Amino acid sequence: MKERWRSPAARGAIALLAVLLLGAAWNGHGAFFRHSLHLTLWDSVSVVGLVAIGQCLVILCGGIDLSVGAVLALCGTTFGGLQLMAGWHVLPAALAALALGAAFGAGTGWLIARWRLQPFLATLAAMVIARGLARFVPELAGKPAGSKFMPPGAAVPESWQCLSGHSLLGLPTTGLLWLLVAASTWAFVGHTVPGRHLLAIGGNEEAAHLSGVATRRTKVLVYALCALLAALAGVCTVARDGFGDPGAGEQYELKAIAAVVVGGTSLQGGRGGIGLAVLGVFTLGYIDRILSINSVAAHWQLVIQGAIILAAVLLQQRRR
Amino acid sequence: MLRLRSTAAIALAIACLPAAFASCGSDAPALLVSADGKYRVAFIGEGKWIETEGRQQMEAALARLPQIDLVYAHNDPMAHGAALAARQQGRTGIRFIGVDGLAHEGRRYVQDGLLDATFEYPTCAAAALDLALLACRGVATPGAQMPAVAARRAYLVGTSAFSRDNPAGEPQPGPADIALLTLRRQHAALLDAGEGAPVKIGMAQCNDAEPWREAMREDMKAWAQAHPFVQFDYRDAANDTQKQRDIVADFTAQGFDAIVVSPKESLALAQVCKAAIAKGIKVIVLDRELGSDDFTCFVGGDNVQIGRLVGQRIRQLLPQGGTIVEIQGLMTSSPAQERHRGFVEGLQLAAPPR
Repeated sequence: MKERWRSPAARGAIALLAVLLLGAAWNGHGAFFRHSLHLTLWDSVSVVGLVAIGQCLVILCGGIDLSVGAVLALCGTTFGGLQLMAGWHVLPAALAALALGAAFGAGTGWLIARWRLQPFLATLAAMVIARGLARFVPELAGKPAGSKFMPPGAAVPESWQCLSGHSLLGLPTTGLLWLLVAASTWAFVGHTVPGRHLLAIGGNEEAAHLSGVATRRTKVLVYALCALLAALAGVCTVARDGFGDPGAGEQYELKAIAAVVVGGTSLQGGRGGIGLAVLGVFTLGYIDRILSINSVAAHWQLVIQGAIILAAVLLQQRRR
Repeated sequence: MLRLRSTAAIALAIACLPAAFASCGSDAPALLVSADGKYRVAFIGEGKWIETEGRQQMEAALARLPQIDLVYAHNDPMAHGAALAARQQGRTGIRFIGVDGLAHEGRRYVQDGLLDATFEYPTCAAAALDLALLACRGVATPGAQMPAVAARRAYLVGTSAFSRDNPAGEPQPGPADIALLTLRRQHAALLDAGEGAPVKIGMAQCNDAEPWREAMREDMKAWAQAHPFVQFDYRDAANDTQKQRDIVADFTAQGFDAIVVSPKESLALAQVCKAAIAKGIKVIVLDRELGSDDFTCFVGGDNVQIGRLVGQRIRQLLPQGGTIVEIQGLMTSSPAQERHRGFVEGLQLAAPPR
């Protein structure tokens, strides 16, 4: 029984519950009890949530990906440009953006797997390159570098409104998409051979290699998946904002890493899970929202958020 | 084998370097000349609003131009950085003009003799909150008696010039200033005495971690202290579009009477503002425009007018004409584009015939 309380899932759930209790106590004149607040929160965290799932895969595999925010911007800008400037239909434009993301991630993964570059350094370089490319994309369409792709006359395409709006039962479409992706990624990690392999690599790369795991191929796959999810988040961001922005996704890598860690996945790799990342995303999202509805000054919000991340890491340390 | 390959890669990179520099050089900005031929803009650099970048641009200009008469920077920190760069290299006789005119920043630089002039870019904090309060009390803003404002529902507030001769500032009011003054006089009882039911006003700031927006925040706090009958809530989105959207949605859910919003991204906030307006909440857009029609009114400074006044000031400072350096803000942002456009209009600048 005691063991069960100590399981990472229980810890993640308790942290979220504690935050919800905090919200109930400190409810901003009753705003916390309105269901619309929780719906918009779900919708609002889903973009970072998508990024966090990809990040969680990489972290489980013993790596880290700093390039997700920039890849989000690169693929989002490409998607916006293809649809608004090149006149592509929404589906091929989105698929092209996703393919670009996956290819970019596979390239980063190849550098890490083949040339044994440290993930931190390789993805740091990839982040800078992707941000630069994102700023270059508008130039391909004959616009100044770094500018945004705006729909003419501020008429946001209908497909974007669909993606960013609310679907069946009034639930947010992006939010549903996020949980769907989370569920399938969870199944991928738990119930497929490459998923098992990535956990094995995160646990002990040497041992996994000696046991016949194709470490290189799995790593490339993991980084490609991570960038693919970042690209999907980029498409959702464009649909939500109503324009393609090379400056989008700034610091999302940090938010995603924080969510994964707060959820209870170990940065050492091998231990944790996708469900934990979802819990972590909600935990951080609720903290942010509770501070906001109570009008806590922005600088104190930063301090409090940092303290909470520290506390989560300390909890992890005690577990080991 | 590996060493050979990496040597080849390095050699290739070195071979590419001159090509990269050459492509940078071909991108040199076009020069501008005034209609009467007296004023030449010989260097245009993008300082992106940041002091150190403004300083670097000035260093490049100093290296390229043997004679500089005047520097126009799109904000005071860049003008300050440029003035320091000139001072460090012992170049004297250059005049500097900045924009923003904050009390502890640009105006102090003018008093210290580093800048020759700065033009206040008003935060419009008090005007926005006054308008929000009046809108909550059922006063139509802008009313039909103000045609200059009513057409675009926009109050474009004038500026003040601070210079060596006039460190206390000379106001340069626009039509909206008169309209605002009239409104305040007419409804003094509502604004000052707090007649009527209690009012909740929320402010959704895009990012207050920069000097000009810090000043806006402090102006708002001062206004809130002077109006104790208003429940005023200030929330900062810390430069996060999604967060600002959440803040506006929260204000709407929490039943605020009016929301003042200074959008980080104009288009991205259209949906939440539409929802607020649909619930009967007054939406006052401050400084940056909203990408839709769903707002009560707009209030902000007039960057084009400031650019024009800079042009006039240059004619006063350099009646004989001269060589000018322009250090621009981030040119993808509308204030920088407008401060440049007004400057071009004010000096009647155009690209010289080739």
